[in-house]
Amino acid sequence: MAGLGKYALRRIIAFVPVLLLLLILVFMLVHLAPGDPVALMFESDPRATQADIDRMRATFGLDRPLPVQFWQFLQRIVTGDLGNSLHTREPVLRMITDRLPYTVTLGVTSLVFSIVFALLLGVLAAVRRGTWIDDVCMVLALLGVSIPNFWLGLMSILLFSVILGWLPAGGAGSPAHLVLPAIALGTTWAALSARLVRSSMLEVLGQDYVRTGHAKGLTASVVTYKHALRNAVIPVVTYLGIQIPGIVGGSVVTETVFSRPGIGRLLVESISRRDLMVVEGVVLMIGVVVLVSNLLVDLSYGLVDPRIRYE
Amino acid sequence: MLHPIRLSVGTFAKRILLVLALAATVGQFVAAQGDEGRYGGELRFAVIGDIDNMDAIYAPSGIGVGTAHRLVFDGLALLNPSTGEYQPRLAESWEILDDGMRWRFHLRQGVLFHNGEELTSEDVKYTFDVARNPEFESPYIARFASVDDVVAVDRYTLDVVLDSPILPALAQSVWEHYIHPKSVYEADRAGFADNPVGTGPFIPVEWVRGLQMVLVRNEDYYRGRPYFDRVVLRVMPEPAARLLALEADELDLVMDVAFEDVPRLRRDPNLQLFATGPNNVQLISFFWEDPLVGGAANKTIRQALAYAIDEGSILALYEDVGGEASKNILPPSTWGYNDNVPTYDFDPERALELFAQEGWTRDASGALRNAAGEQFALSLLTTPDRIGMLDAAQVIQQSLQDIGIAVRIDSYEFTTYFEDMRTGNYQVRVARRNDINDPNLLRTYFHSSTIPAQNRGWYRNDRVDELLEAGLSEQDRDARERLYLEAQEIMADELPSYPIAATPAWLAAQSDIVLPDDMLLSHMVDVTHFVWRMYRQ
Repeated sequence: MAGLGKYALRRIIAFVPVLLLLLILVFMLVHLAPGDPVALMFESDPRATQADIDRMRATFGLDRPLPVQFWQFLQRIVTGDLGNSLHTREPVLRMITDRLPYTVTLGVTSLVFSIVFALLLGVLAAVRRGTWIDDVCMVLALLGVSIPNFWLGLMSILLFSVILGWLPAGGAGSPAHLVLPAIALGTTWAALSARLVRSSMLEVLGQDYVRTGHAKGLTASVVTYKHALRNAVIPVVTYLGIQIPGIVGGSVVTETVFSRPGIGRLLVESISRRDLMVVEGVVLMIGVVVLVSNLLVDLSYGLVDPRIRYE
Repeated sequence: MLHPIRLSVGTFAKRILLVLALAATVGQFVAAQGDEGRYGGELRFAVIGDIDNMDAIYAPSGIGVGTAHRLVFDGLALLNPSTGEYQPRLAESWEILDDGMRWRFHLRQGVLFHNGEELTSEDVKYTFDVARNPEFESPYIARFASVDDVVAVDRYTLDVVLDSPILPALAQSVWEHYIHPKSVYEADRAGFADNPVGTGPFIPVEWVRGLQMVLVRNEDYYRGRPYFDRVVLRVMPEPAARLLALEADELDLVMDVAFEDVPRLRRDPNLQLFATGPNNVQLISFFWEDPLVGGAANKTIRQALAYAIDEGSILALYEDVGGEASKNILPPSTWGYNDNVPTYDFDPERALELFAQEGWTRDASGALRNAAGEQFALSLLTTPDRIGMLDAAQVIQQSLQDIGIAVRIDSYEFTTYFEDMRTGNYQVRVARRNDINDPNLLRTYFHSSTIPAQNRGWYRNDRVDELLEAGLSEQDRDARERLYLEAQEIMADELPSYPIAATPAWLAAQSDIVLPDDMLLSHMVDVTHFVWRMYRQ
């Protein structure tokens, strides 16, 4: 266990240079991308003058040289201040904490959906290998990988909200609001993981200890679900580490289609109005989430496979 | 191909048809005129952008929050775009004194803020003083630049003292500025963004950022009791999602319906469609500093390009949605619109004649080249993020290629498009304007002093500057109109920009929603002003 603690600490210390690199990259990207946030703010306002624009730019400190702005940005971040939105003039931290619960609930729901779906489909296909059930499962998985979540989202609204009237077309606030977005967001990952579960299950089912299990008279289901599945999920857990940032990325589209007020939509809206402070804050937060989730996944290997040791 | 005469007859016929179609569609609510509306119920209304900061002095009025501001706040008066005159709001009347150097507003008595306090001239003075005080960093400060002083003469009378005589119509931002209650704002300015208090028809009671705002009726609204008990503003940035929610009966009203969706929604018996305008003018704009197409010297080139563009094919895109030819950057619905300007209807032969005058002729392969053998090549800036602009760019590209011009379309997301436009990083761009509702806006967009903030084509013409300048202070309306008519004539000849089509804005509503009958005639872009008079049958 001491090994685990040391390992975690070393990984956490390694976060610092990664985050600094991320900050530099984000700062450069948002400041060098074409688009002036202050001019955009007045885009649709025929009464705005150049004086309005210049004054606002000075108010936000955007008239200073880039290195000076970067230094001030670092100073702010170190003190935990993410600044105020240029557009709404609200604290960025509050905007993020207001929106985070929506993305977290959607992310967790879609993760659960994709894991359950992947295990069901993957195990079923592996156990019934070569039968029509295997074919159906893999065609479903192929469809799931190929359909863009934007299209799937709109089509599911059309079917379940407009035609059948079973589920709300968008918004947030109740479990019913989560069903369609979670499916739209989780389908790609569910399908990819299902293929992974199938191939890793097939590999495990061919191992000696599985044959031993059968030979000593264990039932097929005990062999499959207790012995084989546990070993087959290790690659799936690794995959989960990649999936979590993917879900944050996917939420950008899903939250827009389903009108959910999450982090993904906040990021899109902020990018399109070049709200530099918010973009920086959100990307920084996503960076931290990705780093932490990768660490958690690495640490969880030990739980899934006791043979793995941390040094 | 359209001929001048056929064009005008066609346009006229189309307009009549559109009016008839509208009359048929809206028959039920026209019939409802004079009826007492039904009280109660809830209006679910989609807003395109987020409702974020409700402090209307401190936060810029964006697309979403602007809608909420209009339901919660009021200004002294509201400009009516069709007449160029103000309609009274918190001020019931006004006088222009001291040769235009002083505006005197007489406030309506008995107007209550949502917290029950009566509106007085102190509140108006306080709001204006905060907005023009540099320490408060209001984005609106520059618009109060000509305001020297604000004086509360008595409880219901307010004087705005100017440093130069400006016509009220030109100070829309001052006249329409949302009034905040002094006592509340002074006590907790930071808290106001979350708990706004206004005099408007609805009071916000529940608000989840990015999701929705729920407002209840202001029983004491000074213009009358609104019909709906509640209004729910739902934030829905994705156009397809808005329409699906409308079709799923989760919304009552959707603005800015995309043209391609209009025919489908028309077939839905549960929905009604309305068009306002046409006040969206689609145009191409030339960058004035461009050596090939800009500047006074290249007038003939621009005219040739205008003749080469097949407006008929662009109009065909808008056949079902009430689009019509436009010969002027001002929408025909605006006062001061000049109907007698030169036009450049599709005539490729004439285009080639003009190009030949400037030394550009077609070679054996059909390419348009100059004496040095260079092909006439243009880049056309557009964006897929605004209705119809990419389609129009493609038709223009085709028309110009047909006479041997090489055209590259630069299509970018709106922010990049806007930046290229603002910094003059383009040759020709497709644009759409829906906000020119007063000829004074010609000054905003074409006067050399507004380069580059508003005059994004960087157009310069001394005579046009002079005319638009004179329009600022000319008190006689007929004389003022003559100035604007002349400016439009010069610009139609010089072509800093070339208008192609005018299209209406479409909105869709559930069939049981009754909209006020004067809404369609008002040319108001934003229907929010009418929400308090809407009801469910």
